Amino acid sequence: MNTPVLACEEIEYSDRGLPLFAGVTVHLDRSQRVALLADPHRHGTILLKICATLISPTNGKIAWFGRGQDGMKGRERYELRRRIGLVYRESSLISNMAVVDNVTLGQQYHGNLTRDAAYTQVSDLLGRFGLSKRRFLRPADLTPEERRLALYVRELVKKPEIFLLESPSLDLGEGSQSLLVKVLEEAASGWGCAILVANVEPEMARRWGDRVLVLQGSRCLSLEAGEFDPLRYTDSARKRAGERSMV
Amino acid sequence: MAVGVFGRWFLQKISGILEVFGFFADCLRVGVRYRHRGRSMMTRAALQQIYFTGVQSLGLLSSIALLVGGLVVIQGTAQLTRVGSREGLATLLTVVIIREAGPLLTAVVVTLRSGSAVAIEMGYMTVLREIESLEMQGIHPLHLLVAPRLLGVTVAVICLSVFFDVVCIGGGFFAAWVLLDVPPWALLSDVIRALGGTDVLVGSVKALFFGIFISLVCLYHGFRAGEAMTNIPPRVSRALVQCFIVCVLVNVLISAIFYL
Repeated sequence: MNTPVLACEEIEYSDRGLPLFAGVTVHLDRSQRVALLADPHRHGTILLKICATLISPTNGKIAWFGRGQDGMKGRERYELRRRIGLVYRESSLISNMAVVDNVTLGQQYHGNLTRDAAYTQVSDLLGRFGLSKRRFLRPADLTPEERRLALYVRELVKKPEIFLLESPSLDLGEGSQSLLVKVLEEAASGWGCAILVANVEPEMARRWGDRVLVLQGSRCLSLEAGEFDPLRYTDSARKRAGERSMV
Repeated sequence: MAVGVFGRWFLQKISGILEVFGFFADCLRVGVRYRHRGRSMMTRAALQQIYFTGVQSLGLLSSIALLVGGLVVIQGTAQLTRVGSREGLATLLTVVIIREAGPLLTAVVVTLRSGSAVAIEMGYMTVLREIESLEMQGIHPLHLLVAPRLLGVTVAVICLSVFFDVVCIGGGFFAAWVLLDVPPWALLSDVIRALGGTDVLVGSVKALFFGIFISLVCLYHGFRAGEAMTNIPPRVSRALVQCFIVCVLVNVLISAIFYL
């Protein structure tokens, strides 16, 4: 049996003594796409940051590529992050760097490459996301959609083996969302990237994942995308469906 | 009760100082560990910092240096004439400017101009989660952000200190020429006679330590900004005050070591 690329067992998190969630178990295998619906959304954000090694759970075990968090030193943690992509609501570009420097940050640093050399490695992806002509601008000069797309490019260029996203429709138009779905599918089938998408709209869960996790309080349900009914599990979807039927 | 309050205050200050030294130790450790990575990026960043801190300060520092040089001559002349020893003017210029005023005033200008900018920049990067972005690229922020700024500010302070001394003495010469009819070349030979190797060494050592402490303290406070924008102003304010106090203390210490 293959080792999951990400294995969270009975994850519990408390913020300044206030318990937020407990008993969360998530397994991600290579090439798997999972949508996570969290109520409230903040729990999904925190779970993503735990999976990205940015914060530690209060209790529970988590392992990446079979390696548990226990005894993991700082250097190992930094190397692990190179294999994980993270774009969540508050992710940001480095404001005093141009787009091309932002997206090639990892290549320039770890590979000791110049900006031009690093750009040749990312030019296709930048072009695909419509950012080639905008690459010398700073984040403040971009539209919110372009900033968001640049964040995705920055993570995708490192070919992460685990990609963690939150609210993928945030700031993105329909065309950009479709492109992102396509690129993520290519990543999953291309290099076996495992994808965890948090806080999607319930009606869109099947678009973003083959499996759906519903996190409500300490309840964590795992369903195949085909058997997930958004109306059954989320009040917001029911409300929206009700509003549509009234129209 | 008062002793307890004082004790608590004192321990807090010691703890704060030790935290800054701990931050420095972390920076050194990380700098050695990742020394082979990101060299071209960091070289570029260090040169940018030298340009911002050093080159862009030249105009401001020149103005201050000329005025201070003139002030030293005016005050020196008034006092030395009273005791009948105008010849001590060159010695006064050397002692006051090269040993003390030059490095210290340079440190003050750099603190106000560059130290505040560095602290604010790091504060914003922390609050806006840009530091997290670096960490997700597998980049240790203490390596990429701290090392070039530490090096850039320190090199700039040393160079600026020498520049200040030269311009300040030049300002003093000009003031002496205008006010006392003493030609610069006469004073120059006196200054060269009064200047010792120790004076140049002391000035350089002070500038080195000032540069290190200014950048360290400002970077430390920037990284401690937390999650709220409102934390940045008090942090920057604290950084600037601490830089000033540390520079004065270090100045006294080094002068005591070399001249007592």
